[in-house]
Amino acid sequence: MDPGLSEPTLDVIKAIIIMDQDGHRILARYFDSAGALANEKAFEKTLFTKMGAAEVCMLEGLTCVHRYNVDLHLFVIGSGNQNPLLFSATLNCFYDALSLLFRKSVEKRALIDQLDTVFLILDEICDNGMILETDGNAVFSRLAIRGGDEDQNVSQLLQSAKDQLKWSLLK
Amino acid sequence: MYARKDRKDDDDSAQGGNKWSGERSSVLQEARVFNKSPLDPKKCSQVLTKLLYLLNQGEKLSAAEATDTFFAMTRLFQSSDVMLRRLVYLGIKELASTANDVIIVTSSLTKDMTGKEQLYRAPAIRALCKIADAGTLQAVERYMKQAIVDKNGSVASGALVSCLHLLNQGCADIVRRWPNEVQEALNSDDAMVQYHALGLLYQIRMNDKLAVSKLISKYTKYNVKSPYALCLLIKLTCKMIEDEGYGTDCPMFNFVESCLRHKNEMVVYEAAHCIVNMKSTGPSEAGRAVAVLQLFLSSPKAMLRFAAVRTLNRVACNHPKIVMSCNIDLEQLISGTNRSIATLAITTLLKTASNESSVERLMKQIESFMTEISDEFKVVVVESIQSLCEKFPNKQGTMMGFLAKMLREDGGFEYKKAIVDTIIDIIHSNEDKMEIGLGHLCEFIEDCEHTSLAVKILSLLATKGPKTKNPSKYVRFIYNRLILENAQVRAASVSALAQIGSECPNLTNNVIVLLERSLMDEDDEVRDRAAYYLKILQKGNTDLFTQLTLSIHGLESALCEYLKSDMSVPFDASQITYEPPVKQAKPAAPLAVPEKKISPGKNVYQEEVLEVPEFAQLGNVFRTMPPIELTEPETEYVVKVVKHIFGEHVVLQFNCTNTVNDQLLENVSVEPVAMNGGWKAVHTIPIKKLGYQETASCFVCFQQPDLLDGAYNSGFTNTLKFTVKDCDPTTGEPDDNDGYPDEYVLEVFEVSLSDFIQKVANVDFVNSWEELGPENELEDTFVLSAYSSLQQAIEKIQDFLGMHACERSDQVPEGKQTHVLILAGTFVNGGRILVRARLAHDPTMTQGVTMNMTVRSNDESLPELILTSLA
Repeated sequence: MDPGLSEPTLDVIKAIIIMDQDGHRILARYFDSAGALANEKAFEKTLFTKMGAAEVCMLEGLTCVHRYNVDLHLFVIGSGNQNPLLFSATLNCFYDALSLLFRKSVEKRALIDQLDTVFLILDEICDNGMILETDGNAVFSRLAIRGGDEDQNVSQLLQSAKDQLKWSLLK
Repeated sequence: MYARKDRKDDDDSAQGGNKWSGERSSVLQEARVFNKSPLDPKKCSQVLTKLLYLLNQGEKLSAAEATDTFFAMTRLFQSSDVMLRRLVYLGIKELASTANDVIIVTSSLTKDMTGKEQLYRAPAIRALCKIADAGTLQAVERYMKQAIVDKNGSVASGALVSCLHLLNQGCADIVRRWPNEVQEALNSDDAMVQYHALGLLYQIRMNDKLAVSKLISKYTKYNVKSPYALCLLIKLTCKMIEDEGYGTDCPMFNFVESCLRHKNEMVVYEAAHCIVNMKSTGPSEAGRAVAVLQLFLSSPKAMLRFAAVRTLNRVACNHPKIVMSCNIDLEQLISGTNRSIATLAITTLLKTASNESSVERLMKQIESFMTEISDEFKVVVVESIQSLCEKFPNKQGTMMGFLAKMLREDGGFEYKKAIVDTIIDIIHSNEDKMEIGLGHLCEFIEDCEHTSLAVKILSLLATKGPKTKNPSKYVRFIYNRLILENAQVRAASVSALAQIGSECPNLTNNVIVLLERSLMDEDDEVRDRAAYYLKILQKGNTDLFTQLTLSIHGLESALCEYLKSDMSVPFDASQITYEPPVKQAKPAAPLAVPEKKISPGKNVYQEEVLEVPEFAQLGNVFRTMPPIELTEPETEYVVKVVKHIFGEHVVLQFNCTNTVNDQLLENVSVEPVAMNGGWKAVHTIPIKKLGYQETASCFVCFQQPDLLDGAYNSGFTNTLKFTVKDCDPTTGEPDDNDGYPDEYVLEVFEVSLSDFIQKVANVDFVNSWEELGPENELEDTFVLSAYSSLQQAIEKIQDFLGMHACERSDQVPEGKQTHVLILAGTFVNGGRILVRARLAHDPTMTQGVTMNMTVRSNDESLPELILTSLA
């Protein structure tokens, strides 16, 4: 199962995938090109069923790490002969950046709303299989987000006002 | 209102769509908004996101579509909207491989990578390098060098990572010109920059061993802060130690070991993982690494537990004793919720298991969640069952039942193959379990979707079936396949039936009837086989299944030659000559070639020797020893010897490599001279030609000495003889002259008695001992004065006799002064040998170990041979 010593390389990540609660792909980036779509879908299906709520498993010789919240499942798939802690660091960075972006909880609605920024986050974390950054704050600071407040709609503003009120009462 | 919107969204997602999903044509249509002026950045961002989403769902654009969209997208550089610009970079990267003339955006990207807007710079560099060819790269070389050493970490990282990609894009030469910049980046404070720089520097220097070694020795002393860079450095160091064969006392190893005490878990794990996986690691070093991993086992982080147990699982194969210290922690993991971790923990425990009761308990536990784990882990479970079967022959029945249950469940090909292989192993090693095993396999092929497995099992049934009490049972199973399966399986069934028919005379007529029905089969191959076998069986020829003893390469080339001729004379199989396949020596520093796995049972050398027609009639190879080096590794000619033991002969295969680039060797042979007179060479096959960097084998065949002479132990002195022709080092063309004969003295090697004895595992020693009886029994007492402990003496005896220690009798409990060692083996002539040795050692006395050895055999001369050779 453990394949022993591995080649020293930076090219360690094979895919990053986001699925919804039913195991449907929302986003998927595969870094080993030339995989047929059908294969990718089949892989995602087994991944979703075999992983369940677990944090980590081996599948087809690859190390798969997983984190989920409400209706979102994030996966980082790395080559099986590399340090698995690299992949969990990457996954945590991805998750942290998303939660900084969504401010509240990491869930599907927020993800769809800001899909464009999510694309950028992915791009900042991993470049063609090489890990670019593993610090969620650093990734977030590199996004082009400035004064995004004017984009908020009324209900979101209301919600944040409520939250602030709640916190001030709780103090 | 809020609630209603919610429901609408849910409806959307139920169909797998959301606001970004759209038809490909409509999205491409919408992309026309890019061409409108003035630009609407918000709208454009949305459309671009839709496009990215479309591609991400697996949609592929045609080259024309991609090119159109790409060019429209380039107009978006006019906008200064930050979000839009960033999305454009992504779009460029996505379309770079499908669209034409992507080079057009070079100048826009160059402007961004050198501009004031920091947020643009790193992504612009990465986008640019994605589309760059050697020409463009040369134009921006100056900017790239600046970017690599930029203070901004993301810019430097972006540039370094892009360089790594460029190495594979045909721009390696240009990137190799920047080592100074990369070196400077390596001293950066930014953890990721350090990591990327080290990775790039290694890739640039990979083929220069000296440079890599300098790199390592410099940075192992220098305090590398980034844990990622440190992990990479550990990997580099271990690769170096492994490649160069350094021992564990070198400074490099000390560095790796010091990393076990690092404060970052990732570094600690990497170091521990590398240490236990290196060949040079001894038990004490491995012990320290295992101690660290043991701490991880009780970590609250699942990831750490997983990593640690995965590595321990591997260590358990080589150093089971060391891993035993972790047993308590492993036991706790079994009940955890993560099935992957639990499975690895159980299989590790199985590997270290020392008694049969614990094995049974673990097997029960693993059974409870077999259905929940992935195929990968199931294969791990099967593998550990396989090793258990070897260790505890008594448990084979239980294991077989367990395997059969797994065979009935769902699973992929790899998993089923592992199970079938294990069952076949048990069948081969244990006669008692053969029928049960065959029964399970028969049941399996009743409903088997994997053709190759079915074929494998059918051929096994054909060889093993006739040896059972009731072969007709298997005829029924095979015939069922013949009616129900695809052509490949039907063809295999026909062969299997025919083989049983020919080996069981009472079934021959029944088989003939069955085969006649296949004469009308719709598949050519099946029909042909049926007709062929029918004919042979009707003639009453039982000599049907002797194997082809020809060189396959030789046969192929001879047949090709024959086809070129006018074919007036019939093909003559005796004309086939043996041509050794000339192997090119490995090219220097292959790029990450996965190591070829040689399964221990099948030996490449054995295949080579069997391809020599002269040796084909010697029969089957009894044993093949691992190669022994007869030269120092760095000499002009490198020679290794491989001993093949046949029934009545010994073939020595000399594997020669020529490392002199201006010499062509001809007529290369080795002359071994036995120091013991009983050995006679009967046949020699030289190598005709051996060019620079080529490896080929010459052979010498000896008649085995007479059994009663007891002359099996003998040293051999060797001389390499050959004719040297000088040749041009560049072309390898020899000069015109005839060359001159030369000799080269090789080192001595030995053939010993243990070479002629095969280990026999899984023997029920007590019963076999009684069965053989005292007819051919000899007994003698020796004083082994050279050994100071029982364990040492046992190891030596085992080594000397080359026999298998039954019932783990090679392990002496600490502090005991007497011990009984029982050994089992088969001699080359087929005689069975059982040895019982009583050993006694009194630590207060100095005169070593006293041994009383009793040998029983079914061959009267063997006990004497064994005892005299020991004396």
